[in-house]
Amino acid sequence: MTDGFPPAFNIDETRVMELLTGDRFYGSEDAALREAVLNAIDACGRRKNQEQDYDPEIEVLFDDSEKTIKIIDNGDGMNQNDVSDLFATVGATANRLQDELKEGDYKAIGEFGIGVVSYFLVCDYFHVHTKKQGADAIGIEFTKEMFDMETSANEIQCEREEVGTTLILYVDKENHYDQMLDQFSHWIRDVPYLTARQLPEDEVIEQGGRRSHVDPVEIPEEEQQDWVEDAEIGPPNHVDEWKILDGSAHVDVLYRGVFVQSKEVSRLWGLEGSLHVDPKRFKPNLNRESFIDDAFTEEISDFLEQVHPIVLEAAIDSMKDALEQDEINDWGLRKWVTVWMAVPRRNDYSDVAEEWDSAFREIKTFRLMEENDEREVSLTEVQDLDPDKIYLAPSNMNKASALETKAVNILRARGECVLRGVERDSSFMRNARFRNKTTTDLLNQLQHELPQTQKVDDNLAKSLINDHSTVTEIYSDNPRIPLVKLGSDSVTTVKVDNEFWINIDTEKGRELVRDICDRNEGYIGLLSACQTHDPDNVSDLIRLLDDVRDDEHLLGPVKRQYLRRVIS
Amino acid sequence: MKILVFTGAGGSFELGIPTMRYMVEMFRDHLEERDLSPEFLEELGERLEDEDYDMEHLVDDFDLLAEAGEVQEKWGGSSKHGLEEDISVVRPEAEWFIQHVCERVEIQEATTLWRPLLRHRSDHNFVIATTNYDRSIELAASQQSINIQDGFPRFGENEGVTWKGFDDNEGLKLLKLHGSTNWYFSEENDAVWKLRHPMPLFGEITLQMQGQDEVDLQNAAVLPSREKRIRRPPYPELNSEFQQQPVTADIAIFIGSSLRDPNIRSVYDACVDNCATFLVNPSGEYIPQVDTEEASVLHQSASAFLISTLPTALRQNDVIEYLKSETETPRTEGILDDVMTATNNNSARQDRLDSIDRLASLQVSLKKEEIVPLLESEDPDLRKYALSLLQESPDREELIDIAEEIADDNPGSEFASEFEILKDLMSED
Repeated sequence: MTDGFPPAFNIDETRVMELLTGDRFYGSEDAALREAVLNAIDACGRRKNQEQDYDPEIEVLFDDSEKTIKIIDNGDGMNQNDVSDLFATVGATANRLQDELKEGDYKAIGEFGIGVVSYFLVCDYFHVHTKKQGADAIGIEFTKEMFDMETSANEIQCEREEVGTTLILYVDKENHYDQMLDQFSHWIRDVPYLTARQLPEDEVIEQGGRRSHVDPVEIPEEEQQDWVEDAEIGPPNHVDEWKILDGSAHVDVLYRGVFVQSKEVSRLWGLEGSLHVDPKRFKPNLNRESFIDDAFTEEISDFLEQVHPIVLEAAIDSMKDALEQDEINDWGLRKWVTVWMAVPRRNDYSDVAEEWDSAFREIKTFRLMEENDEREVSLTEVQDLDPDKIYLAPSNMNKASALETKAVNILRARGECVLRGVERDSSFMRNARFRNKTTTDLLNQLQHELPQTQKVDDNLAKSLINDHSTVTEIYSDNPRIPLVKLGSDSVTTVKVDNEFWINIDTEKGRELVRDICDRNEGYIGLLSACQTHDPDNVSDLIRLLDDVRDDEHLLGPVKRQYLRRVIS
Repeated sequence: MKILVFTGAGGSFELGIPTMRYMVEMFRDHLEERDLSPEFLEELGERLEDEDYDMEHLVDDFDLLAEAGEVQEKWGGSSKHGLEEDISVVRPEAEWFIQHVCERVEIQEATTLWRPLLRHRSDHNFVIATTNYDRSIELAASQQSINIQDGFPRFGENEGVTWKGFDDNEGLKLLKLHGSTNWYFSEENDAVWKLRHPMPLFGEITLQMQGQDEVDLQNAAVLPSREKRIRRPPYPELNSEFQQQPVTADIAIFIGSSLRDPNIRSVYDACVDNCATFLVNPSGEYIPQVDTEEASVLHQSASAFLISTLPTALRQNDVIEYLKSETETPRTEGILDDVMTATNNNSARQDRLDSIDRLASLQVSLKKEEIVPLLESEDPDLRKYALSLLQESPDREELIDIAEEIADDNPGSEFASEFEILKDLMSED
């Protein structure tokens, strides 16, 4: 040993041991594995910068019988100075850990790249065999005893002759070993020059790979970020992936092919894939819930929001393919309509929205309520009707108020264009932001290409019903029974608040009045006459007459003469 | 204008006086209480199989059979025809029966029927002729304290007066062409008596009136022995008066008569030639001998005509034109009952309302005397219903003022509301 080498730790053992033992760290096995691989990647990266004809290689070997994990890279290796720096990093890291722990902040513990410290999470000792170009090969054994600040690292026989580093983790517990093996493919996704095998069977361990079923979009130069080394993001390219959309973007953040974290950004539906981030910009911290600091999280979200319109535009093709292949049938119109209604309509999405509207133009996403029938129609068919005005009925007529229902009936009888929309599927894409609940709501945003639309609500219903001619009334008490003119193709009677209107523009309405005059039996006669001439609405009348106790409502001969003259 | 109004059996039918045909059926039922021979009843039954056979025919047959018996005896033959005994019983019973039935007239109903016409006695010169025996016209006139010239002087303090005949005075004249239930014939001095209080005669009675000698009286109603009695006073004078009417009348109206009687028909024919002639009959059907071409036929009941149509016509500038226009307006339903019910406080409320309804629908014209009590009724529905009678009333303006006051006193009421409607309707009309 030369002076100062191998180095020793100069840290408070007690505090570090506290950190390293127990259950304070979730996924401690994951951290060690990631750290080991990332260090190997870094080493290869450094060598790549130095040598043009260099082909990096990293090999990970899981030895079931030895319970060891070897990470062998042909990176730039380390000399004695590098090893000393490593120790210094460990010391600085450990000191910082102490400080942070004093403040009781367990979240932001550590810094990714703490290297040695994380290895001790899974083993009591580990070996480093490393050879740097132009330096002697070094073999070091690191043990936990080194935290006593007295014990030095041990030199061991270096097993390497070629430039690079071999890290051998002697895993302390079987469950640590199993965990690292199980999680290997989760964390190691896409390191091109890395191979992994399991011994003694020598079985290949596959990397996790990138998110599949994504059609990456091309991001314009002006949208690119310097910390994004590679963005493989885009819309799902298979209808099965569309089916599971929850309204959020799901992007894997990778560091040189190593999985860092899955990023979910709500409202950015249809955006899937992987982001490879620049390690210089990226300094992930080890903590309980996430592996990235909050500031960087925000930057990723901002970037994804920025490219979302591009992704949605690309999504149209994917959707069209699904439609052409008739894959919509087993999914249902409502889900597609939900997707359509989730398209944002802000200025930055205006082109995208237009493309989506165009794609949905021919799909029957509305219901035209005709006088006695209802049929599905598309936006194009609605425009072909060329109505002066479009009335938007409640999408669920079962939940419509009585006034709304009457207004819709009147409008239908008049031959007006009454549309009922298809409601979005509320259980689908829950994290997306919707301004509209039904397709008819969406029409409000297509005003430029449509005639005036008007929603059928209680206010319209009242004004519609009030927009008539009241001729006279049969009874002026509670309930009031006026004779109105609502058009010959309209309802015979309609209950409006506490009144029962008789439409004398219809033959049935006139017959009803005639019968009331002939019977002249007060409200009882009115009820009987209504039962005869408009049985569908007699229940409304019954409700109105519920509180009537005194039925001295005889019509005098003058009144009856007048009423007969009115209806003649 | 001089107006001849002839009323036949149809004019008293609504007062409960049956036709002669119906009367003979009633009489036949009445006779079953008597101890008559089966042969007689059988003969009577056979006579009744002829639908035209009526009470007058029955008595006529009896008289003819009696005469035949007398003649037979003169020629030495037996006067026994087997039914003498029965006829001797039934003949006076028939007279009594007719008088009894005809005296069933209710004074209030008679007044309601004839008062509307009698009110116009000052406006026009009326001659009312009838072959009916009942006293409905006299009772109505008496109720209204109206003096009628019927050929008898006024009673004054007397219970009975004798025939004096007609003079040429203008005024309401009543020609009871076939007599009356309260006229009695005295065989002794050939006088015809009219009694203040008619009594049923059965055979002959002896009447002792204060300050006068005893008088034996027989009923002077003309029964089918027309051939015998029509030539006896006062019938010739009555008939003469009647025959003269077509010469001077401006309007002749024949109400409720089939005109089967040739004497009546001859006057009708003369009227058709000389003046505007109207036939009033719900069915509008007449025997072929009646020429209806030159007359105007009104398909109306006697009550609808007398209570509503004629009084309304009499208020018009052109009475004849109005009556002719009414030929287009059938009013075949009788309205007497409805008028009685509507104006009777003792009638059931709903009946009164229904009656007013019908009167309004028939556009019956009533005077304010009938309407005001309804307008001022405490029953709000009666008040409301009464509004419907204003339009046709000759006292319309006055009634509207009364109704206006009532409406102002009850703002927001159904009466006020319907009154407003009425004013609108009347202004449109």
